[in-house]
Amino acid sequence: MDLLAPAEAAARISDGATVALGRPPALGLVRELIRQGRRDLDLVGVPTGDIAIELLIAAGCARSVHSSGVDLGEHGQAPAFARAVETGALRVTDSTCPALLMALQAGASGIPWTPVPGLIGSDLMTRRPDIRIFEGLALVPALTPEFALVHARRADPQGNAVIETAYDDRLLIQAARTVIMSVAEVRPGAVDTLTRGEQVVPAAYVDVLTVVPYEDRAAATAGYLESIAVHVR
Amino acid sequence: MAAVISRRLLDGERVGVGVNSAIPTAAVLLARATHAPNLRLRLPGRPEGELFLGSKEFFDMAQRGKIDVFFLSGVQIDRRARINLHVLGDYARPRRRFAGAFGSAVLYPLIPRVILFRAEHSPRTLVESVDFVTAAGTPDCLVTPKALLTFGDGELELAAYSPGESVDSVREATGWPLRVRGDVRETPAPSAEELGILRGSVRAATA
Repeated sequence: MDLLAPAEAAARISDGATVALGRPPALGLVRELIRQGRRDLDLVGVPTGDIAIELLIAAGCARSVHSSGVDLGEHGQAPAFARAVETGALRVTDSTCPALLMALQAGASGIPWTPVPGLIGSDLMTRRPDIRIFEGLALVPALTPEFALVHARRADPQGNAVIETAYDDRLLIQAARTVIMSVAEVRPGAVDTLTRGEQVVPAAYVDVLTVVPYEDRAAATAGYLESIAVHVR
Repeated sequence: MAAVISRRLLDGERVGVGVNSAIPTAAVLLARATHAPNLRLRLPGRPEGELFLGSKEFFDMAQRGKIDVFFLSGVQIDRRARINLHVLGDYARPRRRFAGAFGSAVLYPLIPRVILFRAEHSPRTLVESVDFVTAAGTPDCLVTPKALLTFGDGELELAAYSPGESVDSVREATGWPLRVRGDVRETPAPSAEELGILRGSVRAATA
């Protein structure tokens, strides 16, 4: 595990890389990618895209998005995403939450694909030639994103980290090939005591740890919806 | 709409409510405060909900048949109750692009009772055939401000019209020749008790 400054952490990601974004969004790292002018990123929203993907598209950093939807939650539609799709500037791989999450589960478990129930009857099947049908079940290929950008509440110096239970970052962290994690703070004993809605991710999964600046810490620890609101306003 | 949805929920049912579903959320809280005190609410992907480990735990429960009711909407909803959450126009080069499927393409065919809702009842939202089939399934009903449409014989049919509407006004606002059930009736207006709860404890809980 490497402890890096945010700029160095973001510099690990090169143009054209596949970058999956967790929740709450690692906005300090996202802004660093924008600042460094990264281009042609293939983004993955787990299981949907939010303000992080919207900002990367608006800044011209993305060439494609793979997700089950992109919006700004209670703030409504994601205008840069919609415009980029309408003008043909952005390639989209549309999925649906359970299928994307099961694809990550397959990736995390080292198997090439997974059956997913439902799906049959959706036009998504005609737009996803990579999904096959076997005995009436859709077979969805595994996802092992090149990078996962995730944000944790805190970590200890070894890289064990505390994340929220409400979202699917644990699965993303297990499935990604390289995990870049921003944290609000690093301190000894950070994972020893948990409060409601928290879980521990072992250091074994964490490749890069970076402490984000104060404004991101404020947004991220206030909660996910608040962190979106801070950027939408 | 919240009162109509609430009345369709049964006591003891396990009800999932997804994102962007303010009206169903109000309906669930109203049902709990009236005829369905033992209704079990499951909120995926939200810190204020059940302590699920990620939204995947919720979807796994649904896949195992442990969620009885779920709510879906669509930019367009068609005669055969298929929903479109993706595009207007051609998928490859859309006139308008919307967010996307979220969980619908898996949940719609799997959940035993799907209640569709749409806050705009007009020929542009309720169409003969959607531009893109995000998800298809057999719903319990579709609830709009103007009407309750139930699903029978492969398509949505008018079961009840809201106070102030009529069979004709609802048919006029619908984008296909809407079939009318023999037992069509006017929806009873929200009672004083229902309105009191919606404006009291429900508003306080959802504000």
